[in-house]
Amino acid sequence: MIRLAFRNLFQNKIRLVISVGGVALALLLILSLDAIFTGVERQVTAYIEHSGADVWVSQADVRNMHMASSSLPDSITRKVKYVPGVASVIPIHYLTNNVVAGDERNLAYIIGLPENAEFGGPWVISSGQNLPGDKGVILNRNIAEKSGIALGDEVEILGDEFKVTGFSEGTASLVNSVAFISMDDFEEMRGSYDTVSFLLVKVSDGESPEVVAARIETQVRDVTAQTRTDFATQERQVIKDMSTDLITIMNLIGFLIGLAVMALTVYTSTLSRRREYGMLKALGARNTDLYLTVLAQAILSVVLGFLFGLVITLLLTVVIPVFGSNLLLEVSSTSLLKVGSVSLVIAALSAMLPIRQIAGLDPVMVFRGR
Amino acid sequence: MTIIPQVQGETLQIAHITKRYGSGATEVTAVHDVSLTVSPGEVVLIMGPSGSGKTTLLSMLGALLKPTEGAIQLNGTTISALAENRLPDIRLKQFGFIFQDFNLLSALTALGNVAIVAELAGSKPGVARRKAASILTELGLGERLNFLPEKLSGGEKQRVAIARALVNDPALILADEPTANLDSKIGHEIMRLLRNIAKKQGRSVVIVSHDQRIKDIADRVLWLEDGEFKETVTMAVEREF
Repeated sequence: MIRLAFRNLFQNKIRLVISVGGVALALLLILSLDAIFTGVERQVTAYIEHSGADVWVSQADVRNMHMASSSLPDSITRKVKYVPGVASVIPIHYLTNNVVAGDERNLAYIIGLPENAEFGGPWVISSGQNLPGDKGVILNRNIAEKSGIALGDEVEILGDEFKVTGFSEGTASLVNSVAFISMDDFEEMRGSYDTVSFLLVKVSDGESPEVVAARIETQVRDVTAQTRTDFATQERQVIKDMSTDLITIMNLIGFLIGLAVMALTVYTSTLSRRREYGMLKALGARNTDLYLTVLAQAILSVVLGFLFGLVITLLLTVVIPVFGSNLLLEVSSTSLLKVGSVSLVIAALSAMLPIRQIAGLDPVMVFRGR
Repeated sequence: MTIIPQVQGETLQIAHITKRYGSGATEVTAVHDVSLTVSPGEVVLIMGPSGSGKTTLLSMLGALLKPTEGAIQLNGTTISALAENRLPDIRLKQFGFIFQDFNLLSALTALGNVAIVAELAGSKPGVARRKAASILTELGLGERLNFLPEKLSGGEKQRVAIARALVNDPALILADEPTANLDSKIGHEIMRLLRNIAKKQGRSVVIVSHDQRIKDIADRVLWLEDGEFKETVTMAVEREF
């Protein structure tokens, strides 16, 4: 009966293209949206992941960077340095603001770095210096190119002028980028000389970041210390929480489009073969044999649609960066599992109406052209 | 329940079957008190005007419809008393059906159309396909095994339908207007083929038809009118085809 399902499916090429194409587009919507958000999650945590810190120390109960503010007394830096297992500490300033160049405004995480910071700065420099220097800023290359900014140009941050001294790579996402300035400039601009935002901690060789983070929280009051992994997870969670409703709505739309296309094509296909199914029933085929045929046809269609949608999504992950977009698409195994399950649900639901139709067929119809 | 006295060696025995539709003022009797026995290798032709009850009778003989009264026995099993869920298996293994407009599956080749019925009866795909190929070749379709129905002539399609009817070695073949969509020459040829198979393989054949031209291939011709057999003609001479 599987052979029959296969042949039925491929006999009408137009119907096949409509059903597979429709399902592919619907699943593409879900897959690509998931891929975009997975990419955004990766980009948003890029600075955390590449900061070089094993442990992030923040104000008590501040657990991420995005849409958060952390303020620690400067004296905390020394206290953390004395915690056993801590090899080095870099304090940074952080806020979210616009980098303005003419009419162009680009939202950025502004990071204030100490002079000669061993880590916490840009991890790939495509041109210029790797530390911003006095009244200097390191911008993301893509963002700068799009805004027509060259090395040596002036940009405005929080009303102050900064000279572009370097371009970094991998520091931009769909929503923002990371701009590095010196800690002194940051403090002067903000007028806050005795506080820092976060402490980036490197642990000594052989020490576990988890153990050192716990030690910092025990020995230093009013701070939260998290491993880099935990801090990045918290950051991703914020993005997830912010986008859950949007993703749910788009997933639902994709699911409904896929279901509508499949239900319609499986239904019309079964309707057009009503007499054939009646004949098979008359010959002695059991209803379950026929249900299986319809279900197999629906499953084959959605599997083809899924593969087609996946191929297009994978192509997009390759093609989009070629055009210089900051959009990063990443297909995750969770997304594949989700879309695979959605496909099977679409197949099962779309087969239900035709199955009811078959169940009601009277095999006597085959006599006398009824 | 009607008890049928067991007649040794009869393939099909139907005793006093009646089929009524509806109830009260709208009740219609389609078949009334019909009895018939068919022996192995016998070809019985049932004729009659439209609305005489031929379709209803054929549906009951093929275990697609249950009689209101009476009993139908096939090779000793009273199929009219069997539960609904046992009938598909009986139809698949004990009956071969040939329809007026061939009713082949348009997406499957000649070979696929025959093999699928063997597969439904439980044969493994390889075995089913070998058996289907062998029967189709015997029926002169060896060169047409992989042709879709749309590429076959009317006569070829009906031969595929005959192969499909034979693939599970049925005891009884039921044919509904098998020549209706064939020209006279091909129709007669197909009927001769069916008769030869019946005689050679000892299968019983019941044909329902309007076609007067095929009377000569039957061993017995029954005239059904108003749901009752009015006339029986036994062809006395055994003919060679």
